[in-house]
Amino acid sequence: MRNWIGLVYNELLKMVKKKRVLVVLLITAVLIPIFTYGEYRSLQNTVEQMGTSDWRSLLQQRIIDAQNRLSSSRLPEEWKQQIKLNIQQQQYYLDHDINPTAPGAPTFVRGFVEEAVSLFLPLLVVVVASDIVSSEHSAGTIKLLLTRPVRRWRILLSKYLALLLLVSFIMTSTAVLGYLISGVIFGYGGWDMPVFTGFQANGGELNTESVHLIPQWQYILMGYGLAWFSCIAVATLSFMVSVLVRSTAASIGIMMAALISGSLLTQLAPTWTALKYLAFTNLRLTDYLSGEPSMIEGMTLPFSLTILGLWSLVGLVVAFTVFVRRDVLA
Amino acid sequence: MRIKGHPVWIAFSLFSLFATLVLATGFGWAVKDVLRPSSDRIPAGEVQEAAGRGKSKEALLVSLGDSLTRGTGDTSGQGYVSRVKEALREKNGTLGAVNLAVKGQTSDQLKRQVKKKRVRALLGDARWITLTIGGNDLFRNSGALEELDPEGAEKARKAYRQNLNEILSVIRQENPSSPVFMFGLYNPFGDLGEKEISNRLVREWNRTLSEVAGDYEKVVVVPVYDIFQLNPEKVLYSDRFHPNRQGYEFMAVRLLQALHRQAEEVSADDR
Repeated sequence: MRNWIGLVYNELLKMVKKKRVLVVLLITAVLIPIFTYGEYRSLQNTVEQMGTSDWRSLLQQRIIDAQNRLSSSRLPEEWKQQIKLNIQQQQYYLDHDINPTAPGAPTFVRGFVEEAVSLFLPLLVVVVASDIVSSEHSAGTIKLLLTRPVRRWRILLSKYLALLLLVSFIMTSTAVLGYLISGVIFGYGGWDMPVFTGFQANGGELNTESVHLIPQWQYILMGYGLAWFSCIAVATLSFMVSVLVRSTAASIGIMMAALISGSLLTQLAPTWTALKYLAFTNLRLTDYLSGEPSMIEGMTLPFSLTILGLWSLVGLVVAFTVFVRRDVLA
Repeated sequence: MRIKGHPVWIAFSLFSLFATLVLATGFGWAVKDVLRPSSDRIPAGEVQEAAGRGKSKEALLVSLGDSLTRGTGDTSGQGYVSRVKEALREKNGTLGAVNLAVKGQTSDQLKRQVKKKRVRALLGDARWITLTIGGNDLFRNSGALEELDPEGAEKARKAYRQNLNEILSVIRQENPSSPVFMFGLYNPFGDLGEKEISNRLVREWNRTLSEVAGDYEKVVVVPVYDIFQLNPEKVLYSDRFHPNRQGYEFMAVRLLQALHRQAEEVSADDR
């Protein structure tokens, strides 16, 4: 056991000292103020245009605007379906007199994880995860590592565990950074603001039977938990690619291309339902929490978890088999 | 094996471990909550914000109706509502504006819309209410232009009268004092065949509209029939149904004329 802790600690240290983690944190620290300001600007803009800061009027106006978008004949059917469900959800908030977006740092963090789960967080994860094995190749340290009296699978497993720790660290720090930075503008309060969860899309109708309120801190915790699962799946697949490809640049490239095409494809071809069996179309786990209707029909939380889990499992098996058997020459 | 290292790195590792546990907890909680929604929910009644709506004393313009209020056909995207809003803003300073119009809305749909709780509240706050409704009732129920169906139109007109009555009474219930400006109907087909029939229909519907409006306090009918009577192609959009930029401009001018007169009256009353 001591042995394991030592191995994992060693790998974790190797990763952190590589400055890559620092870069990731820096990216977050630069982007979050920009996001904050952007959100602030758009809020100001609507308030100015509407001439009222009453969120009920703003929300009502948003519902009506969405209704008008529905009447456009060029809109694909799947989009219409989604807009309709959104309208019903917003109406539900309005009817129950709960503001879905009361400004505040916690609300920002909640919005951030809902948006970032599909692309931003996975990208950060890819940046740190992609070179985990390949860098040992490019730096030539792989030989030194493998000549130690430790079994290969143990080395790889300790790398993987260290990666999981690092993913958790990155996610938590984005939350903390987001909270601290956005609070400057929006204020730091609002942790126990009520939020609805439990919306279910049923055909074209929104099922509100199991909708219930939870305090916002719990919602954020659950949202980050789901995003964490997505990011682990991404990390696992990057880990596999990193074992297979010896160049770090190539492995980052491969993962980014896969991520981006995954999120683009759902937008482009929502009717192509086979897409739901891909790992990267299932990353938006937080949507099941917020009740945001999914573009592709027939996706549920257990389904997405299963798909992500299966892909991760395959990734791990491939990574371990290849790593244990491979001849390490150069 | 001894673990050596700077305390910072040990703290970092412990923090990462802690973060992992927290996130895993969150994950488990989320899965449980999505799959089996917990029963210990916060009762919705308890969290209802104590203060009602923040009665802002700001002047509010509420617009209801169909595509005309939405501004369909205006390439500048303004419609009459934005123009009126700008003019009022110049005169009154800050001003709120809510446009609740939905394209293609009929009087029956508007009747249902104004009964919604939130819409009622907005109507109650409004200082001015503008309204266009009836065009879709008239031109959809009368059948295609080539075979205008007088019987269907007659039936639709009765329903229209009924709906309009309900709409205006809801508005007056919520807001007994603010003026309501209702645009009359125009005939977009006035220069096509069968124009006698379509003109007669529009005139009949306009009469109905005026009659109903007359039963309520401070409901002002703003006629636009004349604007579209000669050379309708000059004020109609290329769909030959909605007004174009120029048409909306004229509508806004009409409304402002009625509105300013009313505004002066109010200030005279104050004195």
